[in-house]
Amino acid sequence: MRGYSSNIAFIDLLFNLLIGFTSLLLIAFLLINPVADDGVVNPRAEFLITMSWLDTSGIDLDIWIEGPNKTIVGFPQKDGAFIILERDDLGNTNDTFLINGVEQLVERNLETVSINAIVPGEYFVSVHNYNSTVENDEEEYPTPVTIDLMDLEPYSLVLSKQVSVKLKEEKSVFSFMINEKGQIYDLNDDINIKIRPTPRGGRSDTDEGAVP
Amino acid sequence: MPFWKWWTSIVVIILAISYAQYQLDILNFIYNNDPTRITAIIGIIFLLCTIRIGYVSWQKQFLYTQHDHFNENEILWFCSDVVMSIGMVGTLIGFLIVLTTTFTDIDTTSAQAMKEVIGTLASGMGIALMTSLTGLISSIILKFQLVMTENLNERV
Repeated sequence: MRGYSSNIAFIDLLFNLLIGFTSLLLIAFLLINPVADDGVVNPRAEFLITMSWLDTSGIDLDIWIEGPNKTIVGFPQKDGAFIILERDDLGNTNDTFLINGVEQLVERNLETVSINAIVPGEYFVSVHNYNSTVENDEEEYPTPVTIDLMDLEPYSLVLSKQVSVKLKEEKSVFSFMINEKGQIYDLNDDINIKIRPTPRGGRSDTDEGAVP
Repeated sequence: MPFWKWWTSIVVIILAISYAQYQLDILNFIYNNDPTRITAIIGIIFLLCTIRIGYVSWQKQFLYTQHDHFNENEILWFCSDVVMSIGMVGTLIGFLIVLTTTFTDIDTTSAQAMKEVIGTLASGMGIALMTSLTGLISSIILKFQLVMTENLNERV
């Protein structure tokens, strides 16, 4: 039989189409840009504990941390060796800055505590409401506040807890253990251990008479 | 007059190729873009078959040789299919180049590396399409010559 007709050409055409689509697919995959690593700043710390509440709130909340060596870090004692409170946020009182003679408002209510070394032991975290009055009647009361515990090596949000604190109240948030490898374990968010010191040297089991 | 028919068709084909070469530099383009040289193989087969068809038609016309052309031309018909199959082989080789060389040691963060990879992809596609096209065109022209020669023979 003479080869007047052949299906090779048709198969060839199908293969060429296949190559065309495959190439397009490959190019599409290759052109997916990887997420740029430049510009990402990694905090030099092992763990971070952040406390944030409504940015427009006038309530002054304070975070208190007690480390395994009984170091207590809060606004009067910001530097506790490896536990450091980076800023004492006073609500909206210290949100106004005078920069080059121009008043600027940065509405952000955030306190950050960094733990810069792996020190095995138990840590306690509590929140204290410093205010004795609520100036803004529209504000939610008791003041809701979110406390996040982050492990930075590698990054993971270990716990995020929301609590509400009344005026002059100290509320325990959670406790956790850190082992020698820098792993967090034994998380406990159902505790009632006050860590804020009082002038008499004890704990602020009563809200009255505490160090402000 | 089978030979003169064949001769006319060949002159037309040569003129067409010359025009394409003059306008588009087509032979140089094919040579530069096909590192596998499959198009060259197709071209050589095409050339040999064309000469053979010319010789057969010359014999018919001037020597009045009565060939059993159904057997005589079988190899030429076979060759007209072979050029297409070789084109298909080129397609597969092009596909292979696209698939194998693209992902070898690829650095997606480097723009230069990406350029090279896309260049390789284009090269593979180029080989595939070029060999297919050369094979198809060669096959069409060969079959045209064969059909013309045989039909004329039968009328003699």
